[in-house]
Amino acid sequence: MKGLLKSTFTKKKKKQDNKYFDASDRMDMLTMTEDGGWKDLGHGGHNESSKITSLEPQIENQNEESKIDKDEELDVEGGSDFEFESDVEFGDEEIDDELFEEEYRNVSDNSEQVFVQQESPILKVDDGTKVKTSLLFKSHTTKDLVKQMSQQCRNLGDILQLDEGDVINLLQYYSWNSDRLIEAYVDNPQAVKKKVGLASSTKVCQHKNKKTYKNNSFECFLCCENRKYTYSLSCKHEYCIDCYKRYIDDRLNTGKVITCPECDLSLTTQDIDAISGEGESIKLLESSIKEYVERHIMYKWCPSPDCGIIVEVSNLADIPHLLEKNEIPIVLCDHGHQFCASCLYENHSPATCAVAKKWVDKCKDDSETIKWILTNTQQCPKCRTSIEKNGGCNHMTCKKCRQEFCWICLGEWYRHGTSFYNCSRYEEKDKNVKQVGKKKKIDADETRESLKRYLHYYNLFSVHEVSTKLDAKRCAQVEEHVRLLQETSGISWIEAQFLVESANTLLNARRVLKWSYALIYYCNITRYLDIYESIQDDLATAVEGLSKLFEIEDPEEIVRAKLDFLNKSRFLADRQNAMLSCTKDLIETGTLPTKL
Amino acid sequence: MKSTDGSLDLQNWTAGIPGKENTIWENAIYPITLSFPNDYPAKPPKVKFPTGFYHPNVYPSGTICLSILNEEQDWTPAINLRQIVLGIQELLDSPNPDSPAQEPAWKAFGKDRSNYEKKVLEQAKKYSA
Repeated sequence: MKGLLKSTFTKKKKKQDNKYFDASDRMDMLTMTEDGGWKDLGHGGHNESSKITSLEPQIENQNEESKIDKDEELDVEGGSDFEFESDVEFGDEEIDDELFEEEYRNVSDNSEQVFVQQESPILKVDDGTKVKTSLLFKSHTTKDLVKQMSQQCRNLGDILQLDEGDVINLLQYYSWNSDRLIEAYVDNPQAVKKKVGLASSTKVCQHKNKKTYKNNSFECFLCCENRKYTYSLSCKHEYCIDCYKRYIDDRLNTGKVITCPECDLSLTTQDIDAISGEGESIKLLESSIKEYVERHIMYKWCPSPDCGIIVEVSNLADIPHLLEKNEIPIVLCDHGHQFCASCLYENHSPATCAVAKKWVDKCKDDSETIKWILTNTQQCPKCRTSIEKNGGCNHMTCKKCRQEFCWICLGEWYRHGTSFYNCSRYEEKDKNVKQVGKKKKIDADETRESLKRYLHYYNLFSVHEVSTKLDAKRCAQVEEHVRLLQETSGISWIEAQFLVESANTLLNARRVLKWSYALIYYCNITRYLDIYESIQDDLATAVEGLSKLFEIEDPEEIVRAKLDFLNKSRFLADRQNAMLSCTKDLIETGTLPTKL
Repeated sequence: MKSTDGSLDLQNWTAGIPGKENTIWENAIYPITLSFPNDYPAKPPKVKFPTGFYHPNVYPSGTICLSILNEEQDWTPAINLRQIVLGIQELLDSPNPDSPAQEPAWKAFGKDRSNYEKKVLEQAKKYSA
């Protein structure tokens, strides 16, 4: 098995390379894909057939690939690799590739040789910003994965000499851990079969599953009604077909083995198809996908809501190396979502994985609580416990240390003497009281300073998160705008693309800005941080500038503002790149502590 | 087993579980209520003892923690009422300390058996036949 995988390794790499050269290339290829039947996209959203103009060589290339893909098991002729390289035009990416390769040469010592030879892919995301990644990956739809799972079942069936249906049940029982299954099965096939509830090894016991009764003479035990059609397994527990169907429907999406209602004998896919109708058993596999993906760490769900794409990362072993270098293992799903293959969050650059993880954890448990504490409580001047006022009187007694103090000046209560409530006067006669109170207050403020700092960045972070969502909504209408533009202003599709590109630039830049606040929270205050923050300010201004343009509704005005759109998104992309490139400095200068 | 109030509600039953002889549960009939959901038998009936029933596997609300009554566990449409009530009767004297549902009875059962038995006998007196 291993040898086989290796022989296809190079091919897969090549495929990856071809896939992610450039946004426009990529889109063409995806469409090509549909033509060549290479891969079922499954989802909409890539309906760009009007975009294909020339690019003959790539079409050939793609067809060739599809051929290879089909007979993946066969050996590929040695020359095909070179053909790929010569066919595909790298254009200006070449320089980057070289640079990139140099950067990665150091890391790749322990990775396989193939890895060194191949050009590291550079993700070019739609907005023109380049995202470096040395991960090799491929998107799958759930459909693809189901196919793959059933292929695995067939292969395993050949090895264990079992039916595909039986293997599915076995794998379900063993949580799709085929190694464990094989080990257990080889050890004691009968015990495993019994545990999972497979029909005994004497396979053919010529039991007739489906029966028809005349005059509805069968009384079903489940619904207590007289029925005509029944079904039973070899255990002879017989139920009407409707009850059986309901029973299966209930359990089909649990991802577990379905057994006879009365005993442990399990239903195979054939039984399910026979009862619920042809093709129903595929749901059995679909419901197991979650377990399957969890079991196989090379598969990662795209974290974007309702995306449903599963990305397969083929060089998982490189992720730790990337993390060591504070680089983010970013992958891109077929729907265009970037995410980090290590944290499984959206692309969180410039924040490193460590920062992102800490930040998300922190936000999860304290943000709202801290906000509440800061607005509703004061700290006891003595023991610093946070205290919420539960009554109108300003004479407070700390429950913990029994300290009595004034809620207004935080001074000790007895110092007020008999002149209570004087502390609320602007000019205080008793300076002593005021000063003591002031000092306490400063102390308390200091301890709260760090909380306030956190809250400051948290607010910025969440404001931009909300804005991102709103922007995304607006950008989703861009398609509509583009269509309107074409109809009303008579400009061509390709000319209206600036709108789509700007929208993508905006969304990406806002995301970068958002995560930069998380990054800064963990930074020490140095002069580099000042520089970084000014870059950040620039980015924020640029983001808002472009975001404002998207508020234009009138198509004609949009056309008039085209230059503005282009300028601003160009500027924004520059700012964003500036920000990303100086993130490294933060780490190198120690502004971002290596240990958080 | 008796069915309920005058209007004969077929979805809510009351029944009594006699404690097994020669156990600390004997000479008493423990009342239970069974409520059958609309999609019975696809879903199991909800079976409850009175609130505050003293048993390691009975929740403070009286709900019984029994695998055959749990939809996610061992419930199948083929389980009949007889099996349910026999299962509950069996559970009375052989509680499962691995899935505790209330603290007092579970703790006493594990650590202070004499106290546990005392409480059970008190309860048996309360529900004595």
